[in-house]
Amino acid sequence: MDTIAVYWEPRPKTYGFSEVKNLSLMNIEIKPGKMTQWGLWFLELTDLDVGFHLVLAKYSNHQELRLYILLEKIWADEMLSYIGKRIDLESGKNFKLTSPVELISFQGPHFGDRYGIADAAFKALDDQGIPILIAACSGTAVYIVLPEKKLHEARALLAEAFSIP
Amino acid sequence: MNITQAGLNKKIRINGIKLSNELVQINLLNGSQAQDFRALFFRLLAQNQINIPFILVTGMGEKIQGSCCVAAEDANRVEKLVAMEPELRENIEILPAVGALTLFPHYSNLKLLGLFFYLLGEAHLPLYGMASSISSLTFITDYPQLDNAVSTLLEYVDLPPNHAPFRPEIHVIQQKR
Repeated sequence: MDTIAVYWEPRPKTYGFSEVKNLSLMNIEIKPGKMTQWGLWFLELTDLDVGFHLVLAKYSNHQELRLYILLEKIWADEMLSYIGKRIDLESGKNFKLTSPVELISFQGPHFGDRYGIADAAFKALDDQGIPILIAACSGTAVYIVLPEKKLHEARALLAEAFSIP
Repeated sequence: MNITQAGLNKKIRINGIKLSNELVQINLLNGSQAQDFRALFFRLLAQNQINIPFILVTGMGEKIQGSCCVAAEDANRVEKLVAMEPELRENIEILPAVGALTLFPHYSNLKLLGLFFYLLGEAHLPLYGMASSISSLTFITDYPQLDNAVSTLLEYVDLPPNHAPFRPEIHVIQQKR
């Protein structure tokens, strides 16, 4: 049985924007066959009570899974110290740290079920040349990580593309 | 080091596990003009009213600049749209039969992430993508393996007594009239 609900709005509504500055973005290569090892390391790390703002993993090419962890700078230092004892950070191949970075995130009604949300968000930023470091849309939320000092401009552009009740 | 030595001495309490219906993953490869190409892809899907429930984008010069999932029933439409755009056609790859496994809540710590990485590695299950949301962690793996992944996971997590892993029974589709 189909139930049809009609809902339309000229500009997608959000429940508001959340903004965080002074974050660090860790970018870790997870080599094939090392997933188990990294899992154990992250479990061990929970003793440090490291809190993240966003985690994201995707393939950067067909062999290389990259894990991004966005966290407060203070936690990045703790993690660096821990990870540095286990992998070679110096080579720069399997680990990168970008800091400081900024995060804007927002959510809205049924965002995960509706077409055009990502297009509206990315278009607003792309059209004005705002670079996106990483972005994730999952569930009802959109997360966009920006280089330093881009948050203010990005927020203004997104506020034109989305309405805040 | 084993999982107990890593600090997991008892099951992790979570509030729920949600499984998706069958999806396809679309990887956007880096073309000569990455930004325009990504914009074109998302615009095309929006214009054709195709929802993208899961999206990962990186703008850091990687060969695969983005990955996203659409419902399996939308795959043919996406392929037709892409086929009409030469630049897109050359820079898209499609992974059929993937599914999303969502765990909540993550409490913003790395415990659930670590556990699931460990279990995927041990079970030799593929991970095609992963992202956190407000309170959840979503992992993309092979659709036919979703139930196996849940069975493995349930050895290490505790669900509330009245909760079982579920698939959505209500499918919301937005259409412009």
